[in-house]
Amino acid sequence: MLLHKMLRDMKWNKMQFISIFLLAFLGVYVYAGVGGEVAGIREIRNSYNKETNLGDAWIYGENFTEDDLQAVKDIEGITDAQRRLFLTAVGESEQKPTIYLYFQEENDISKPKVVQGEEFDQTDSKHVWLDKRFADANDLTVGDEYTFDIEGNQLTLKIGGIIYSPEYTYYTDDDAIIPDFSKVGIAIASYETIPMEALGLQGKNAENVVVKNISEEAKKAFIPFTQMVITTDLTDVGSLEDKISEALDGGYSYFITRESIPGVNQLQDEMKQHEAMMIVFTIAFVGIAILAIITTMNRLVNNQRTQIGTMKALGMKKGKILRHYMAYGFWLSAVGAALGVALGPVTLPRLFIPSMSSAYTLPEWKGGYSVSFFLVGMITVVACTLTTYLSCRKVLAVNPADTLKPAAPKKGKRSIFEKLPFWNKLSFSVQYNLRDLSRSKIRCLMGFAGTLCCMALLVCSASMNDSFKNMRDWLYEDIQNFDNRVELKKETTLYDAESLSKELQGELIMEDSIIVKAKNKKKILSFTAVEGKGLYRFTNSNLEIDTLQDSDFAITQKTAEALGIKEGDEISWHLLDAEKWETATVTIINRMPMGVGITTTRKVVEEAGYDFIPSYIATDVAEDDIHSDQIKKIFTKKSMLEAWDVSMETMTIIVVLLIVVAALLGLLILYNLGLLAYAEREKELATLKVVGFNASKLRKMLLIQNTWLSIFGIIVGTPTGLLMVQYMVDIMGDAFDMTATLSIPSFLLCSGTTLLVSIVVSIMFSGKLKKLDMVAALKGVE
Amino acid sequence: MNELITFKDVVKEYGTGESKQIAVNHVDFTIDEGEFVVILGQSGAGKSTVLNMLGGMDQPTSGSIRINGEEISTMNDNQMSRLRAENIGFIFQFYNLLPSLTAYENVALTKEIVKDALDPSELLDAVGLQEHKNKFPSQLSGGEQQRVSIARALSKNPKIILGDEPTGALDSETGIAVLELLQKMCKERHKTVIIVTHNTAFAQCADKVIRMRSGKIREIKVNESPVPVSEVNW
Repeated sequence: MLLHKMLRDMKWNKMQFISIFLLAFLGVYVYAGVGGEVAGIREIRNSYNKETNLGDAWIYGENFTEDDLQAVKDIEGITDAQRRLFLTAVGESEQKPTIYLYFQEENDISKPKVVQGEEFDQTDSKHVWLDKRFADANDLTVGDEYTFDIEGNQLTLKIGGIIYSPEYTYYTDDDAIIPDFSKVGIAIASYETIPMEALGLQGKNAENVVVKNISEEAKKAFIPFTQMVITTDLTDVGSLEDKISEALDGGYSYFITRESIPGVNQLQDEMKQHEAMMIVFTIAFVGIAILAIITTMNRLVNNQRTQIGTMKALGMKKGKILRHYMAYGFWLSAVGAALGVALGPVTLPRLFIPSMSSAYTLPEWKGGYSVSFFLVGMITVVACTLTTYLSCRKVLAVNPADTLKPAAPKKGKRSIFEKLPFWNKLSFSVQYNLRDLSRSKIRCLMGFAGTLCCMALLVCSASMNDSFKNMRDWLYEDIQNFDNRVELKKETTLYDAESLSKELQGELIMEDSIIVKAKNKKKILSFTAVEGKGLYRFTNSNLEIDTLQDSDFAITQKTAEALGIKEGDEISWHLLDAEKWETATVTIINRMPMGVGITTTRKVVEEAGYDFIPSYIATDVAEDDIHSDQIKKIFTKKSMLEAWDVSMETMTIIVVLLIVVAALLGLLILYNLGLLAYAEREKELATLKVVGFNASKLRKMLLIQNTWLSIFGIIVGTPTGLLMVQYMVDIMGDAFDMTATLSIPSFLLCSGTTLLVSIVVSIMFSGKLKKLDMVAALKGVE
Repeated sequence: MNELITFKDVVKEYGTGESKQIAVNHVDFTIDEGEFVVILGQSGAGKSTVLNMLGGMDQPTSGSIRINGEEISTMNDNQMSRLRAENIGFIFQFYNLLPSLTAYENVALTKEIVKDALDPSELLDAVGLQEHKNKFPSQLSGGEQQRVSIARALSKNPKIILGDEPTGALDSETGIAVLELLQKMCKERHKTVIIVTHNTAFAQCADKVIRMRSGKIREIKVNESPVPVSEVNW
C-alpha cells in the first residue's frame, strides 16, 4: 500500500520529482559520459602502449654509437634501448608535406602498429611504412612508390605497410596549430634504406679515407643515430637522467620522458581537462538535486503530518514510515543514477569522438567504463537518500498525538532586513518578499543556487568563447603583428634571407628549441629570436606590448614561476642540438597565450656563438607580391586564423552543450522552485486574492523575488563561471596562458538569458494565479 | 432602507454526471444596506457556498447575484478582484492573517489595493489592539487575531463585511466580544454585516436571519427588535 502511496505522491508532485530525477540523472550522466570518453581513450591508449611497447624515455643527441647504446642498456633499471636516425623530409606532393622520417635499427620499442600490408621489417632495404592518416589524406596505399626529399636529395621507396605510430597521437606540421594530415606525415624505414652517399655519409674511416663496398655491419658505424628510445621498469623515469649522463659521459643533448612528448602528453592533458569539467558539472548537478530533495521532501512530509500521525496511530513503526519516505529519494536517485551510468558512456563519447579524432590519432575510438561511474552513482544515491532522511526526520520524531493536530503556525519574526533605515519606506511587495526570503531560507537558497548555476554555466561557455577569441587576438595581433609568415627553405643562407627580408621590409625570426637550467631544474622550451623591428613583439606581465631590444632575454611567466625565476636572475641555456651551456640574465618576464619558452634577440644568439638561422620572415607585404625561390611556403594571417578557428571546434561543442544544459537547468530549477514557492504560499496568496489583490499584482509580487534571486545568481554566477574556465585552463598545464575574460556584450547576453529564464518561469505561473481556488485554499485548518 | 444584495434563483452545482452535487438549490433573498444578517444552518446546508458566491470567491452555476444593482455572477477574474477590493471585507474562521506581517502591516496591506484605505492605527485602536500592533500573528491570541482580521476587513471601508464562522475557533467569551465588535461596527459605521454560523444563539442579535438546509432556504425572518450581543443568552 505504501508503494501505491509513494507512486501517487510522486504523480501529484510530478514536476518536483521529475526535477530530482533529472538532476540525479544528469549528474551521473555527465560523469559517466565524459568519464566514458576519458576511460575509453585511456583504455585504448594503454593497450596501444602495451601492444607497441611505447618507449618510456627518449635520449637525443648527435651520433649515438654502438658503445653508447650498450652503455645505456647496461644501466640498472633500463630494460631495453634502441637507436634510430630522425630526419625531417619533404614529401612529393605539391603541398610539400612535412614528413617525420625515422630510420630504425631495431623494432622492439615504440613499434609501429601496422594496419595494412606487411609487418615492419627493420632489415628491409626497399620499403617504407607510412602513417595511415597521411596515406589516407594523400590517397597512398601499399605497393605505391613514394619519394622523400631529404635536404635536396631524393629517396624513393615502396610503401610496405600503413601504420599508426604510438609516439604520435598528436602531431602537426611545424607551423600549424591543428593537424592537416595531407601536409604532415610519419614514415618509418629500416636503417638499411638510408641514402648514405646522398647524406654525405659514404663511409669514411677514422683517417677520413673513403671506404668503398663497406659491409652491412660497418655501414651501421657510419650512421649518425640521433635518438635512443628506452624502456625501463622504474616508476621514476626522470631519475634515470643522471645515470644516462654518466654512461654517455654527457654526450647527448637532452633526455625526456613520456610525459613530455607532445605526441603523447597533448591527449593526456586534454583528458585531464575533460575530467575536470565532468567533476565540476557532476558536483553542480548532484548538489542541486540535494537542494531540490530538501525542499520537496520537507514540504511533502510537512503536508503529510496528519497522514504520518495516522500511520503512527494505526501502529506503524517509525522505522517503516521513515523507510517509506526515504524510498522517495532512493528510488528517484537510483533510477536516475542507473540510467546515467547506462546511457552516459554510450551516448556522450559519440558526441566528442568526431572532433577528438580529427585532432588526435588513435587506432580506434570508443567509449569505456570505469568502476568510478558506479561509485559516483552510488554516492549520488546515498547522498540523496540521506538527504531525504534528514529532511523527514524532524516531522517523524513528533509524537502521534501531536502530528494529528495541525502544526503550529509559522512564527513571524523580525527579519534582519527590518533593521534597514529605509525599511518603512519600502513598498508592501518588497517588504513581503524580504520577509519571505528570511523565512524560507532553503527554498531561496535553492533558487539562488539554480540561477547561480544557470549563470555560471552561461558565463563559462561565453567566457570560453571570449577568452579564446582574446587569445587569438593576443597571439595574432599583439604579439605576431604581421600579415604574412614567409617560411624559408632550410638551405637558404643568412645573406639571402637578409636581402629578402629587406625587400619585404620584414623581420627575420629564428625558431628552435632550447634547454634552460635554473635552480637545479631543467626544462626544454621553445625558442624564438627576433631582430627587434617591432613585427614580432612581446607582452609583459601586465600584458603591455613592447619590442625586444639588445640583450633582452624574456622567459614566459608560467615557466618562470615553475623554475622560481624573477627578472634579473641568471639562467643557463643552450639550444637543443648543442651541448655547451651559456648564461643569460632574464630581463623580461613575458606572457604568451600559447607555447612556453624563451624569446630573445638575434644579438644574444650571435653573441653566444650560434648561427642565426631564420625560420621565417615576418612581413606585411601582400602574399601575391612575395616572390622568391628561397621560400618554402607562406602562411597568411587569414589562413592562420582559420586554422585557429577549426582547432576550436571541440570547444564549440562544449560551449553549445553548456548553453543547453545551463538553460535547461535554470528552467528546471526555477520552475521547481516556483512550484514550491507557490505551494508554500498558496494560502497566503488566496488570502491576498480575497482581500482584493488581482492576479497581475500577485504575479508581480512573485516576480520580484525571482528577479532578486536571479540578480544575486548573476552577481555570484559571473565570477563562478570565470573561475570554472580558469580552473579548466590551469589544469591544461603550462602550455596555455589564458585569463578567463568575459566581454560586456557576453555578460549582458548571459545575464539577459538568466533573467529571461526567470521571467518565463514566472509567466508560467500567472495562469495558476488566475485559477487559484480561494475557497479550497482557505478551507479547513492550517 | 436600500436593497444592497439580491440573490435570484441561484444554483450552485459541483461535479458532473453521477457525482453531481447541488450545494445551493434555487435560492432567493435580498439584503438591505446596513443590515446585520445571520445565515444559519448545519454543516453542508450550503451557507458557506452562498457567502463565497456573495464575496466573489465562487460563481453560481445559474441564477443572478446583484450587489448594488451590479450583476456579479458573470464577472471575470479582474472584475471580481475589483469587487472584493472595493466592496467586500472578509473575516474567516481561522483569521488567515499573513504570518510574516505584523498586526499593523496586516491591516495596512489594503493600502496596496485601495486608494482611500482607512488609517490602520485608528482601526486597531477601534478593535482594542493599539498596544499589540507591532506583534506578529503568532504572538497574538485567537481572539486578538480575529480582531486584526476585522480591522483588516474594515480598512478598505467596504460596504459589506462577510464572516464565515468568525467565532468558530474562539472560546465563547472571546467569541461574544468579537461578535459585539462586529455589531458595533455595523451600527456605528453603517456596514452591512453577513455572518454564516451554525450557532442559533446568533439569531437573537441579527436584523435578518436566513435559515438554510440541504442547499435550500427554509426560512427568512426579519427581527423587529434585535438584542445587543451582550444581552443574548448564550
